[in-house]
Amino acid sequence: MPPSRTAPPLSERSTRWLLIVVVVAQLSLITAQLPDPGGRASLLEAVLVRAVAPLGWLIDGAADLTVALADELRLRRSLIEDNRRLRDEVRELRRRTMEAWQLEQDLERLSRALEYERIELGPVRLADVVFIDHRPFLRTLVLRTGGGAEQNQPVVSADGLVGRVVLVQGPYAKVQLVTDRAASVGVMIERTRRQGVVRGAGARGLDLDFVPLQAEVKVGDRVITAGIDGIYPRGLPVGTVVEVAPGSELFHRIRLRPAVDLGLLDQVYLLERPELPEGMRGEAPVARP
Amino acid sequence: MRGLKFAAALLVVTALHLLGVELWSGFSLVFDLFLVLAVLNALDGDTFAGLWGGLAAGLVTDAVTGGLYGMHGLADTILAYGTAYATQRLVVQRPASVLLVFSLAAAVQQLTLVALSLLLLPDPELPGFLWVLAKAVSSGLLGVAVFAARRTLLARIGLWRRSRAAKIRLRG
Repeated sequence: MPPSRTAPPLSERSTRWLLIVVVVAQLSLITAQLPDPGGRASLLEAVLVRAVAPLGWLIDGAADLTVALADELRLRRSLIEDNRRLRDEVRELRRRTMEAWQLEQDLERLSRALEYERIELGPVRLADVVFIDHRPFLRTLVLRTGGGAEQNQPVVSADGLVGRVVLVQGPYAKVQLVTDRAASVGVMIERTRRQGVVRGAGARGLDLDFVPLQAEVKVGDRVITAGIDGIYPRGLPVGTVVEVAPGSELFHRIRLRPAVDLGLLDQVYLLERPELPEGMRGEAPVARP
Repeated sequence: MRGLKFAAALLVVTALHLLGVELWSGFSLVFDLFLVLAVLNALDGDTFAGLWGGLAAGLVTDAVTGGLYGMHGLADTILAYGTAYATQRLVVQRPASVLLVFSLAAAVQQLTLVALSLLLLPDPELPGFLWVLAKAVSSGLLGVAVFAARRTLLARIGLWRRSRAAKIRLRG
């Protein structure tokens, strides 16, 4: 049985013109974003993200609740064993904390002797991941922050760098992942302190650029943020070198595996960024990952 | 009324999409529920409704994904209008033809997105052929299932209305 047909509100000719207008308008909307693909969002995008995000939050919450109930049932069976294992872990972690405290004391003493002032990581804020998508054209996620997030605010997980906030809409924030092709981060190789720039490579992970051929790089080297791009503080794990090959010019071609498994993100942390003094703000590099 | 029904369907599809992504991160690589909705809406041959349906579904797809905003909007607008235009000239009722329309629409959408990416982005990351094939097949199968379910539902509602009207006449 074919669906019932009603008279269309416009003639076919008018609809064809309307199609042309809509297509041209959308092409204009798309091309307007080209100079800065990760930059300011259009009003239309902002409104739709704001409308869809609560739905994602509800579904995420319901899924989390279901998973939590299932976990609760499973966990009850092995509670005693887990408890014993965790007690052992706590004991071990306490021992390591003592060691770390001792090292920190030494570090502070040496820093004072050299009159060096370390930059401390600011306070962090926990945020729930509302939804994340991995289709080939994008690398992005939306968080429920509860408000107060800022554009360009670094986003991290317990394992390392996740990305930065690119759009804030009320209690929600859209995050550009570090693997996004438009993202870049100033980094250094932890072992040698050699600096470079990490660029998102989509499904391939991350590429590390601008490391000269004479610099020593090995598979397995850890790469951390260098704190030189005006966005990310120093010392956040970014990834591990998995492939080093000579590039076509003066630099290595280096591929990294991201430190964070972006498919497992459930909650992340937003880092508060220390404000630069008023007089230096104009001199700071405007990072545009 | 038709616009409201479409908006409600779009809301349900958005919820299902988000649930799918929540359960399996590769969901959006294989399934495009927004595309199925846009094509289903265009299958009655109304190009005006098809155009707006495709536009709305595409823009919501863009909202729940990243990249350049409006790429899915443009692709879905074109394919929904094309579907409605083709349906005016062809009979699309049998499962095989419905399957073909949904699969072709998915392929056209992917080709449009690839073409836009190649034209506009300096170093675009394109979907693999197998993923495009998987999306075309899944959209076709899903489209046939939803089309058949809608037809059965409409037939049952029609039957129920006719039998109810007959009872009322008998009582009168």
